[in-house]
Amino acid sequence: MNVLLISIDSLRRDFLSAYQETPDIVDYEVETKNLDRFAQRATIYDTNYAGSLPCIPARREWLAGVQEFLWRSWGPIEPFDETIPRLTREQDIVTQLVTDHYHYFQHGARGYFEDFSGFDFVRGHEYDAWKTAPIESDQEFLDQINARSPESQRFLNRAVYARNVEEFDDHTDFFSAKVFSSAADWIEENRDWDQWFTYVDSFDVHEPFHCPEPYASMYTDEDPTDVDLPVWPYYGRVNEGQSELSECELDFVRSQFAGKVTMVDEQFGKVLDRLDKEELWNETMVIVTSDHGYFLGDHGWIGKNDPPVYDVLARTPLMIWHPDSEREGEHVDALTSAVDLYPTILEAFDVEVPAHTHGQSHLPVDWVTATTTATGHSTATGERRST
Amino acid sequence: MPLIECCLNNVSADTRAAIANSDEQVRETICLDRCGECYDQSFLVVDGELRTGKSHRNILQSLDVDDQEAEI
Repeated sequence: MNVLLISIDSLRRDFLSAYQETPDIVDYEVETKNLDRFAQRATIYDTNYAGSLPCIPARREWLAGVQEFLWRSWGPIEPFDETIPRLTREQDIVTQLVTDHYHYFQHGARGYFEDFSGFDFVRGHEYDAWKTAPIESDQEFLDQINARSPESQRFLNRAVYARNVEEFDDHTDFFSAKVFSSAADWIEENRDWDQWFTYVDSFDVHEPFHCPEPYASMYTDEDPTDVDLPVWPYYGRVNEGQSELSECELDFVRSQFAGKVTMVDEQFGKVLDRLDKEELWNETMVIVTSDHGYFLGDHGWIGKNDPPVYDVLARTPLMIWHPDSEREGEHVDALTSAVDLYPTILEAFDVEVPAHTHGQSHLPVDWVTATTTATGHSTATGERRST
Repeated sequence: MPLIECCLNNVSADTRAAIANSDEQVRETICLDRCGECYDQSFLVVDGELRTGKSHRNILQSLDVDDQEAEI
């Protein structure tokens, strides 16, 4: 068995046709033909929730099976954690991380990539400490991303992003294109291994919502390069302070988010195509999920972190294909959580699940009745089949 | 009345109490994404605009001066 775990950061479930036709906050459909294509063969989990927010804590849930909220904040893999790549390597399963998620390589987040047999790090997203020239990027773009003081060497300077993308030309230079191409190539080049675990962690759809064409103009009639239209809004209330957005600005931000969703979807399709080409579906479990959503004016908020944890943030997409599943394209209403992926993946590899994990396995192969649930979750109904 | 936004990482407990007891409209957040300024100096965001100074008291006093000049 192989397992391919794909995270698409900040992907709102309501933007996926598998969950609903039109997102909550726009009146147009957002094209996600490849995620739809995957949903047709996958089990679709309707009640899946984040456990620990945002970003890195979700990764510890997936990779180490620890639901760390409220015990710990954003931080490293702990010395006592038994990560999936470490446990699977002990069974001679080759493991690979493909990501542009630069947080793995920053202060305070050690331990996430080190256990993998190999990793590919696509450079340059958001604040990734990559390019240092030119000192002054295009001023209009700096304004559009709310970058101040390009000369400052303090951390979290938005001008870093402008430098990182200075030489980008078309959409193939952008991050999701590189991440999913790398993943697709890895799958083809490594198909001779008996078993593999590949974790593809796409930083997109995460802001900055800086879209190349054709995606930038796909859902708006505005000029995407208009200096007065932000692609990297501040977090906060949309009706006051530095995060205030006019109706036009908010519509534009939404359109760029939607454009990014479609862009990522097209790149994700490369992986599906490669699984088709290599005829790997019968020996590969594929999981598609996200760490959290993103407020786009919902409840009066933009961003994340500050607002109460409404469903738009915490109710996340989860779709799983398992070769033995009897539930192609079916929706499951059982309550599941991010941390459940840890035992689910280990069980798929027939690797013993550490007893201390907070997760409950929910292999789709277990879901054989109309209404089922993972054990231990009180709000779900039905029974889980014993195997 | 201006909206003052302050980052909880940038204000002391005393300053926080003083701002809260002022007549200003205040919003506190865990991060205002102004980390460079936050590391270097005292700052507040007033009606969306960054205001820096030697201390939060100085920034607030400068707002009073602005208000007085506006009235003149």
